[in-house]
Amino acid sequence: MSLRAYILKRIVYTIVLVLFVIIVNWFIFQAIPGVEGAIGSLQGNPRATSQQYQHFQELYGLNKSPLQRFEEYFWGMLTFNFGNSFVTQHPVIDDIVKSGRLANTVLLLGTSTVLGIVIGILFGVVVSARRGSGIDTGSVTVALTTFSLPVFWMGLTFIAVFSYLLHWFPPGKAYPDTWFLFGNPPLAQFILTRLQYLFLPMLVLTLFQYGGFLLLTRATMLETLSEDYVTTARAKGLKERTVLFKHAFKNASLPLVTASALGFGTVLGGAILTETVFNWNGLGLWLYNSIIGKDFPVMQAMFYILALSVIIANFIADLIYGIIDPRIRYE
Amino acid sequence: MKSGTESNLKFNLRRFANFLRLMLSNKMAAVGLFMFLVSAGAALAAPIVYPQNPQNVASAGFLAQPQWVSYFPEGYYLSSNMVVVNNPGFNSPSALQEWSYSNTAQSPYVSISTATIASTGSIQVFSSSPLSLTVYKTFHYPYRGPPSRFTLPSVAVRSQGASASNPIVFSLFLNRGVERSFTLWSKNLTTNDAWISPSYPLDSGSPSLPIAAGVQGGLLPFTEVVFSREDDYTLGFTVTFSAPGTINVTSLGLRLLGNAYGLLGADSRGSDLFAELLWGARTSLFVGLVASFIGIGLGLLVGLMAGYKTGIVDEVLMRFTDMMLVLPSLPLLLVLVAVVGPSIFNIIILIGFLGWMGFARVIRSQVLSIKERPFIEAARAAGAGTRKILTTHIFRNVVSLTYVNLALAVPAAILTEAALSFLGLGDPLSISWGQIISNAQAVNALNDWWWIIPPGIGIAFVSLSFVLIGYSLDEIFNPKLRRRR
Repeated sequence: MSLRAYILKRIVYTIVLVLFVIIVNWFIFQAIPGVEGAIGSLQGNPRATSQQYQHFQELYGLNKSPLQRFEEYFWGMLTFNFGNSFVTQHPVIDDIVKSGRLANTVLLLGTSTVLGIVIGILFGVVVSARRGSGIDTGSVTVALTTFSLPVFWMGLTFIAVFSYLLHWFPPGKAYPDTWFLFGNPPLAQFILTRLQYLFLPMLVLTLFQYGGFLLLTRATMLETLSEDYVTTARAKGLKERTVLFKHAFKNASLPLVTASALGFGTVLGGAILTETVFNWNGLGLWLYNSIIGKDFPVMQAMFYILALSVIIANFIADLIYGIIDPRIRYE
Repeated sequence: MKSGTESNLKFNLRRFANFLRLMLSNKMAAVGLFMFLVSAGAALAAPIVYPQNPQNVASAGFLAQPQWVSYFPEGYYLSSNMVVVNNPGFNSPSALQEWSYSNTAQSPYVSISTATIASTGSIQVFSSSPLSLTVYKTFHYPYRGPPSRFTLPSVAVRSQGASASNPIVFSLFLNRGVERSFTLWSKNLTTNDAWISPSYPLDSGSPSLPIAAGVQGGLLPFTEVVFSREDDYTLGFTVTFSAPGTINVTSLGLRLLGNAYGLLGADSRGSDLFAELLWGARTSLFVGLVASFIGIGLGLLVGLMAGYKTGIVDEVLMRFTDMMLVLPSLPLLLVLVAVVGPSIFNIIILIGFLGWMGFARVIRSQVLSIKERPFIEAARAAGAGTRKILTTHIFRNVVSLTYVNLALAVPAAILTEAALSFLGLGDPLSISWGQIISNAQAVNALNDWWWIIPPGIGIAFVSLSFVLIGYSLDEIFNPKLRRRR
């Protein structure tokens, strides 16, 4: 199979996945009586006129047949036209993009994921070369512990220690409220303050992620290090660093690509919790607020977008895999 | 036949003993097992030590600090719980011993006794002449600071011989020393043979109580106004007869809820945090174990089916698994729990039904390689059917994987439940560790580390125990991973 055919196959598969998510999302929210029930109760209410009833029926599209509604919903999902939020009355897509929530989430997720991957892989490679040593047991134990600690609990303890006790970092929010009123400060101060606000949530999400990468890197490295070509490289007298990173890690890195894509859904879960703890004005906090406030159009749109991002992450991982490991094309 | 099963049992027992020995020789497994036994012990002991769900019991004052804080210099003002009246129901004549009477009680016109009216014990005061009489109990309040809250049971009085023209006046009071008297409730009794209680709760938090005592509008909380210092306090009631009559009083007690309590203090509703911690272990372990059993069972089923049956069954099952795998689990769970409602049953089912995909893939790939081995072919040649081959031959070869994945699925389920509870989508009726942390955040009590830290450690402790057991099982079952010695 050529690379092009492989990519084509992946694209078709990705489209099928997107359709699956759209259909699942539809059925989940069909189970909620929410809007229909509320408007249905208007019908028997003597204070509500039939015009009001009609108005609300039209507003929420309840006068249409389920098939028509599905059709409308389906195109809405494809064109990112999710309707209006019950709470803010703005179009949901505006609340996602224009409000800066998407940017905030990307900032938090991006920095912590990069840090988590770099730290996890570095430690994993280093530790695998010293199997059974103190640093090996130590870092595996720490990784397992951060793995077992609830991410929201880490966030709360960090707030208690670093903001309430030591006053080093603000206890929450993405940036000071005063910016909203008086506009952004000069660039240097802007960056510094945002970094200060970013640090704690980023630290929590990094700790949430690095353990998995460390353990996985260590496991695949241990397997690779017992291969003959590693012994050969060592016998050639190559530097240990070259052996580890150039010879062993290059081959051990393949499962990491898939694992990081598959783990992306879990990371999103961690991001929801972190954003909630730190009151970080991103998509996770917004999803949480919409669930608490029963804002169904937002819930539906957010679930779709989160699932879509996992699908895209998997698609990208498949592409990278296809490029760096030619064997996969002949499966 | 009987001896056959017996020897079989013996063999299995010996095998299990050998397996245990193997596990205990592994340091990681031994630590994990020990940690699991500790948490399981806590979960089992919880209803024995604290028979009632601690969420429903006000054990101490709101936000009470741990008892041991009072031994430190900064805790000098803390007070503890006190029960002032031992028998508030006057169920036996000996209940009178803790009470004292004013001088008029000596007069020949008065008699004081206990009486049981319609199975309700009470203290009965009879007077044949118009006079005033006080029944009281003096107690020493030994703390420098005020209690967090004090409550009295809803006192009930019943009069005989009273009328609108000749009322019996009943007044309940709490005095500090001899200088200050606080009337908690007073009532002109004019009707006969009916139990009468105050219309407001006799609780220091009730706004009616300071009004009755005539100290409303002050800046200090009522508890601080009353218990302003270490002193002798008097609880009692005064009855004024204007004609011969009888009065019965019951539910006459006083309970002081301190602002220091127990090992870990109390939460914002006065519930014992240590009891909640023990009860939380039950919820976490229960949800973790049952949900992961469901998930692993489903995964085993799907994996065996997909691996053994090739063709369309395999294709459909695996495509479906891949699709499910792509749905982000926590957002999906949040949305689903919001839809179906947060009961513990729903949460377990949902976590279980969203946790089978990874394991199904593992089992499938294992089955794919096992079913090509000669012994399966031999079994088929010997006439074994699909079910026989799947349940005995193939299943026995993946059972070790099942154990490992089961152990690793439990912490995931526990953490998921904790996350749901933390986000306010846990079962409100069964306290869990996530909920304790959520409660602390709701009142912004992040500085009360005795509230925040223990449940987090609990979650990590239980999760880590299963992770350790899982990894060591993996090492035991999978000789490739065993370290060369």
